[in-house]
Amino acid sequence: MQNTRGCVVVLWFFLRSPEHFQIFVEFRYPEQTKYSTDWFEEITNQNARFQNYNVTLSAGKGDVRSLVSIGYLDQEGAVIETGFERFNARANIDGKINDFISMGWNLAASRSQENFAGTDGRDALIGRALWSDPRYPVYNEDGTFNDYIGGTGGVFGTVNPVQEMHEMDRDMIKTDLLTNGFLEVRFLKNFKFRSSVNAVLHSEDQKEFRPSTLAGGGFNNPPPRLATLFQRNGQSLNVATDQLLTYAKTFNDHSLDVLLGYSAQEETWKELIGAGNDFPDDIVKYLDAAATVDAGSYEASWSLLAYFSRVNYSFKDKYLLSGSYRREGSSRFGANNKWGNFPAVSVGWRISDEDFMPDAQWLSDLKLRGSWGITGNNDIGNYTSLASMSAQNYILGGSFATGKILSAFANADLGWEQSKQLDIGLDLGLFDNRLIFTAEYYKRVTDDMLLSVEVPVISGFTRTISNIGKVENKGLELALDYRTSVGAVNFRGNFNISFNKNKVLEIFGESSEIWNGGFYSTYNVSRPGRPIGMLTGYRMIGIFNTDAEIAASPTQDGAVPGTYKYWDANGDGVISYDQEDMIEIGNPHPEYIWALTLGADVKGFDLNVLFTGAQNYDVFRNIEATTMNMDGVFNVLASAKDRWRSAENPGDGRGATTNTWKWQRESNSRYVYDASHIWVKNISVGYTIPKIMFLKSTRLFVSAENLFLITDFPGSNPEINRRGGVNPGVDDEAYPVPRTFSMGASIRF
Amino acid sequence: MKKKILIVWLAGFILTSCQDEFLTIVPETALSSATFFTKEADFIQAVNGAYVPLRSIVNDRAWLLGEMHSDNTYYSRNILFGATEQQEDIADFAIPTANGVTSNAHVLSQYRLDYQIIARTNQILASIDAVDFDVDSKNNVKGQALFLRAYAYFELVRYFGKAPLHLTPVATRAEAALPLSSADELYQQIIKDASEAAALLPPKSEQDPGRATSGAAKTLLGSVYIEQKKWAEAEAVLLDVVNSNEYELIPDYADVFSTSTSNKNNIESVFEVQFLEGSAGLNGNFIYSFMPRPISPQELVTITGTSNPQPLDGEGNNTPTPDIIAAYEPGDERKDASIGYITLSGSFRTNKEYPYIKKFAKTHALHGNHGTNWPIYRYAEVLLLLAEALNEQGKDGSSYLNAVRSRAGLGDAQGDMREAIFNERRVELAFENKRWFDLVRTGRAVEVITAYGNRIKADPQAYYYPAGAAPRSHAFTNLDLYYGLPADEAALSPHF
Repeated sequence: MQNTRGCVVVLWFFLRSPEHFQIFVEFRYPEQTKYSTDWFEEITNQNARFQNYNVTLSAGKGDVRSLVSIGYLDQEGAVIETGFERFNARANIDGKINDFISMGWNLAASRSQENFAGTDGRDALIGRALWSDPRYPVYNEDGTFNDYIGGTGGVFGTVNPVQEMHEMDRDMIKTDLLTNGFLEVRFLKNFKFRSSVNAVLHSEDQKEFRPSTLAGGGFNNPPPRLATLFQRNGQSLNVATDQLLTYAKTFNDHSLDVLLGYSAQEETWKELIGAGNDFPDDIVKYLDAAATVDAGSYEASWSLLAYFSRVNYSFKDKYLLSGSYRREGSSRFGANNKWGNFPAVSVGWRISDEDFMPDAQWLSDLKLRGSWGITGNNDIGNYTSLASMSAQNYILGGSFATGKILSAFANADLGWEQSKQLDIGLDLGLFDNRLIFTAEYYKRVTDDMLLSVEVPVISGFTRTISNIGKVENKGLELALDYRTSVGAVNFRGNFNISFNKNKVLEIFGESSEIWNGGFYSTYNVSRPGRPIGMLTGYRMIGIFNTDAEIAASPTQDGAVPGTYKYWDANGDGVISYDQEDMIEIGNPHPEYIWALTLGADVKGFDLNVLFTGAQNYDVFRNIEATTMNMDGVFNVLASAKDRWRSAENPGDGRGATTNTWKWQRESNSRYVYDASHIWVKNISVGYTIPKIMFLKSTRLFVSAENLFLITDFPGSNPEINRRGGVNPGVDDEAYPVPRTFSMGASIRF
Repeated sequence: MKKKILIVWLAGFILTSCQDEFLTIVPETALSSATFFTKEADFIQAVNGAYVPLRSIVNDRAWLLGEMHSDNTYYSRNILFGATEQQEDIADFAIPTANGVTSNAHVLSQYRLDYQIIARTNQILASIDAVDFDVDSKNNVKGQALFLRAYAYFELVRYFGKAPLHLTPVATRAEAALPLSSADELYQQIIKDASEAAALLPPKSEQDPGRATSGAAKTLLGSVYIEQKKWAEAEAVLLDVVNSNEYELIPDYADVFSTSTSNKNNIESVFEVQFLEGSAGLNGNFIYSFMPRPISPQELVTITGTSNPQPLDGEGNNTPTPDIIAAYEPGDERKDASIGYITLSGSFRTNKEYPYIKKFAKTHALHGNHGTNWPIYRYAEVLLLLAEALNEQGKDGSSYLNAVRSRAGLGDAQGDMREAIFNERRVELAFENKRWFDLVRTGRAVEVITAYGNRIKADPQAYYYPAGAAPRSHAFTNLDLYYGLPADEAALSPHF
């Protein structure tokens, strides 16, 4: 998965070209290094088992039907000592009481246990496995864990990642109970009233114990340490009800249905948290045993109320018309803007049914449709519109004194993010719908976009959520579906592709740009007229070979031969050490994404292949600031061998020299890679055994997920999105995408 | 649960006023400003919260920007340890700065901590007058808030030379960016706030230990006047402090500084930042930052006395320079009280003995957790400031200077008084983050630091470099008197 790992270590030398005797004895003869540990290999589970069983029993014909099913899933993780186990059961029953009233009830429960690990990011497990010093063994000669990696003479010492996975307890148990029921009453022939209640009870039980035998999480914290325990117990109850009144009538060629309704929803989350440290032993892993215990509890709620109406009308199934209106209120918004109004209309025209169309055999369906509507988004977390207070305690008179500070802006005007979307679509079915072509053009303008943005510290904090700007997305989605038979063989094919163009139209407030990120990682910058979250930094145009070259170039203060040469974007003769010369160095939005499914079946055998891909977008490999760090404290990529060594031996033009950091680790285009890729996501082969004895049918199958990836991108996952949301395209390495092979059977009695 | 389902079920049927109720959910486990700032206790808690950033300032930053950025201390270079550029840049006078902006993380952090104090005190000052409670208590809270705001701006103006002047709470993102105010404008406000604070606050004997007092506000004011060379004003306000009879010099210099658990806010202390040893998270750990490294548990425990010493790797900071060691006159008792020596078996230097700051290094129970308070203003400094204010007006301030000298076991000052006071401040207040500011305000920074840089380059091994190692090529190339403004804040403001 990680194709450029290597075991080259370059030491941080205080002299640029040390004499042989000046190198530490321990590192003087690299060929004599006893160990070459591939930490990534050590922490990954190359043969993770996976089992999944489901049994379903359904019964009933006519007025009452019921179904019971149970399932069991057991999956080992792609990282050692991780895994997921789940047991679930479901029962439902529904039926008619009489001709007017029907009702149903559904109950589902599941319990899962996950042994997890913090894997994402440079300082988490995967990152550490990549940069941990390979010259140290996993185990000592006596078979015990080598409990401190590195640390020789002050080089960053770290925890042994394998030991950490083995000795740390990290469990998350989740229990879900979901129940819903409905009552439906038909009256006056065309009216129907349906009332439903949905309740979800969710609980989480998390436990993390770090024994004293492990080194600390950061750098230079050798064991033994004080053992620590973190426990968290949370429970949420989500109750929602829907009341729907519908009227449906068909007369002659007209068909009409009208819907009125409202829906209300409330969720409450309660949590109890305890942290303890200083345990007398690593055996009793409960808070009771801790010398110091810190506990806390927490509760949060939100509510949502919506009224809606919808009218659908069609004439001869040829002219279709629909209009809807939704008014929705959310507790999350400021007092002045709790409510949002969301109208929508759509029209459809089935051209193929028109008289003027030839009654041709080959044309099965031709339809033109269009719609316009507004939708809302309130995904901002609870209480965001309020100025909340939090504790910041001090000491007065030699003892604890409670202190309180304001920890967020009050924003009574915080309101719904609204998206206005226009859709125009064409559906074409040919040859008895064996070939179906769909095209859809859309344009969506999102106004009052809700974003967490950085604010000057004078506000008392550094980030706030606000309705920050206006963004446009427009694009085209095309899909082609084809099926045919040649003799006994049936072929299926489906291809879809979507092109999206994204543009910031406006940024509200004082500054016209939103910068997220940092000088030494990269910035995601949004500015009007450009796509959202563009990767921004210096443009790297080469590596300085000589002092003369440095002198002849725009000033880069402190540059030495072997460091990167940047482009003087503003042309003032100086590469200034701030954002002045930073420009867009990558577009994190794919030009298009696509998927292709191919399938065939013959005589009980079936084959399906799924390809997916994305083209022309960029990812900033932030992790390489570490894995190409030439300080000699980290394991580095094999390509570090081809770094700049001298004017005569300049290497591959991408790796900078050792013993310096300035003009190397700033956000710059050297770390930007094209992440275009084609992924063979799934291949499956199955065989259905015809009916034998009491078995109705049995299907046996084998399948492979994420079989292979075709790309020039050097990371393990080109779809990575470290920062998430509107700040895409940053790779710090994350949980590996597993290649899964599975086989199974589906048996019907 | 049944009741809840019923309420949710009915929610749609009910009247508009009840709808709003259904959609109004306030946090039950955290206070919001809607219910806060309504009574005396709220304001007392709010002002307590405004002191908090001071802890991080003195524990993590001020010694980097105010002491190691001078000829008093340096880092002890660990050649195997790479990721220390940002602090080395500060000590080496090599902070990358462009267009008046720097990306140095310590500078950013200091800036943010000062503005946190300002934001919190602005909130208090803006809402306190609308709430009715005991006038003495109200004056006390207002006085503390004004003192803290003045102190934060005084730090900002000395670090940056200019800064946005916010005096009211910022309620929206749009209000959060103001243009830079000049040093004069900032000083005007600092003097106004500190003067008001001095009038509102009670004397130390009537105040909770740890809170700002009228003496603290007057000392701050005196220090500001001296910075501005307003000698007569400084003299008046500092004399007030002396005549208040609230403060005395402690006879033995070694007893002036707090231990981890006692001797806090003592008779010589005018204002200090409070720490508390233990598991409440209110402890400090600055003496660990000041240890030369790599240091073994056996070596470290001789200083800390903890039951669970751990090794410290990486690069040591704030190591006293040969210059400060040489600055003590023969017989000065403060030298041994301020500076200790430790031999590090793991050192890469030929001479494995390092000096370390001893005056704060008091024993405590657990590794990395001590309760030693940090002095901001001491009475000894009040006397030295007063001596300076008098001397600069041609008056005789020698008695105040000599009181400080005599406590250190030294005779009366000889020679040029201005030089004598300047040198006295250096050794009396060594490692209390005064040195860089003193160099700048006396106009000596460039001259002193240039000479200091040349000494390091000429003999790096005397400044704790291992044999063969030399200062980085760009060391001592940025002798600006002010730090660049932080880049991350500049990115959020159209004004700088």
